[in-house]
Amino acid sequence: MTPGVLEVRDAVRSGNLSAAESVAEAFRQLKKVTPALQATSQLFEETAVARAAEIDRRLGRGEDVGLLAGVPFTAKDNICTREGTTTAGSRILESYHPPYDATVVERLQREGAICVAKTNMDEFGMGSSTENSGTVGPTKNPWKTTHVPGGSSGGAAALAAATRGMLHLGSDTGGSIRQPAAYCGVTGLKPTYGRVSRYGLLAFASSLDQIGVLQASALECAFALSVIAGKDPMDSTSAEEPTRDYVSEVEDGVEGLKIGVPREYFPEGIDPEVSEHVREGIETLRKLGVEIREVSLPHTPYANAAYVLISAAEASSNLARYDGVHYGYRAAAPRGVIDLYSRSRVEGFGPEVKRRIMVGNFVLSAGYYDAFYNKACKVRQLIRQDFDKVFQEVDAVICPTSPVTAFPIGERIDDPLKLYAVDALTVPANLASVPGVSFPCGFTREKLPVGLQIYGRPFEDGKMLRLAHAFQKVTKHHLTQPPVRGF
Amino acid sequence: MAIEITDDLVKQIARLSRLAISSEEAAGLKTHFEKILSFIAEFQALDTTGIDPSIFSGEACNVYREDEPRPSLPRESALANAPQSGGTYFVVPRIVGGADEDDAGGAA
Repeated sequence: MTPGVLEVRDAVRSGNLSAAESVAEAFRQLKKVTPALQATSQLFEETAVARAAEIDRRLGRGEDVGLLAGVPFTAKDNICTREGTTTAGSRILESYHPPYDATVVERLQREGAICVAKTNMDEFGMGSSTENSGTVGPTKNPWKTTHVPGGSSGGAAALAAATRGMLHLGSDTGGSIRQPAAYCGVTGLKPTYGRVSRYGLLAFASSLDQIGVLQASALECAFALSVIAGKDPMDSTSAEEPTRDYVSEVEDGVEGLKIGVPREYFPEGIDPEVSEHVREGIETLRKLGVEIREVSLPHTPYANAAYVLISAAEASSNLARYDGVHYGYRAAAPRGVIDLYSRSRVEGFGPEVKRRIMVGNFVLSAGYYDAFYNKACKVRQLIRQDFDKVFQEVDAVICPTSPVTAFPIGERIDDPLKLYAVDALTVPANLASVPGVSFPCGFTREKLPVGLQIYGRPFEDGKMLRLAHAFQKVTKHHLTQPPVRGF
Repeated sequence: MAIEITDDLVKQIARLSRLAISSEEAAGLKTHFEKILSFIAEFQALDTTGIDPSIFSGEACNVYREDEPRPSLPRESALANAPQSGGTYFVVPRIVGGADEDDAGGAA
């Protein structure tokens, strides 16, 4: 079996595998799946090979090269790397070369990990299918290449399913790690807001954005979290809360833990096959000694509307920086400065980004602020209170990740509202700042993966991952191999 | 709150957004605004009297640090991505007395 991230790490540390071999294997896999999946925006072969050689030299001298010596990783294309460009999937940033590394990238590299690629995404994270990439075009689902991988971290999700032995950094504003993880049959972790630094993440909605990882297992997610979590002076919203040894924490037992099944998370219109596999998954945990009880998160039906308004409002403000002056695309022959801004933006941004900027400025503008933005923030408060209340009673909440499975490319792209609907069960975690993890709990008759989602209490990311890991120790869904794969 | 989405409203928001949209894009956005309004109708009916809006995530507020000098981005790096720079500064079209001075205030 192709080694996973922990095996690669162990093999390099013990001298059974060189960093050069580990990186060569990563590129072999990436190149094999690229024609079918279009999951990457750039490969960094030359520099990765050079870094691997340096790590091998240092290992040869007996130096400690870090926890992740020789482990390859990819970064979603909205996470800044000094290497290459960081475009957020947008034409407006097509030629942007960040002068710095994001904190997560810096932390992985400090531990000896090697960046091998940037992954494709919906422009600025705005999308749930990775069809909205302005730079690369749509990424395909490795289970069925006529279908979307989910989004916006669709490139990372497709690679997490179709390759082994790499870490994949993604970001999640309303489900952008968990929903593609569900559609691609992998484990996707959105940590608690503030658990991981956002420094170097191109902002979409700052109060909702969180960096996380998409991996083959909950154990790999825990391993990655141990390295990327923690306070960062460069991100004042990163939390002081001490980090834990998540790898050992996931091995603790789950017997006696209490999980709530919120009745609002099986809405009308949910795919019956999704419901069925999720219910089976819940039974699996019950058999492991987890206490299951029904709970209510009554404001769930309002979450998506609140999310659409709040995320658009924050996006309209964050994306004001793209003005054709400091970096990025600039329209030709501007007549004046306003013309420069207005044409650079209209030519550089894709249609969905323009829609969200417009909606955001609308809900923030004089006369509409109270009715829309402020109202959405009040609803957000009610959603937070729902979670506070339920978490007094249970350790975690369990539910489907998405009401549907991966859908055909093109099916929802012409109707933004129909596309927003697939996020209904993931957005509450971002609104309430709680951690969430999605992992596969079965397959439909069409052989498409179904995602099961667990929400934990804030900063109990480890306990939440422990439940996912316990599930994966007794099931094989996460080991099922997709037809398109590089391993 | 009953709101009619007019062409003028869409134009006004596009102006605030600094997006020189075409009339075709404006028509599409008008339809989108109408769909958004119906999408949020149910939540608009929810009673939120007396609820404090939740605007930020996490508990951190006013994070302070010592005001000590530390290395920052060198000027060359800051300018390296500029579409047009004059070596030590960003180049923009004339603002004062420029072609769109009347609009430069941008007030709603």
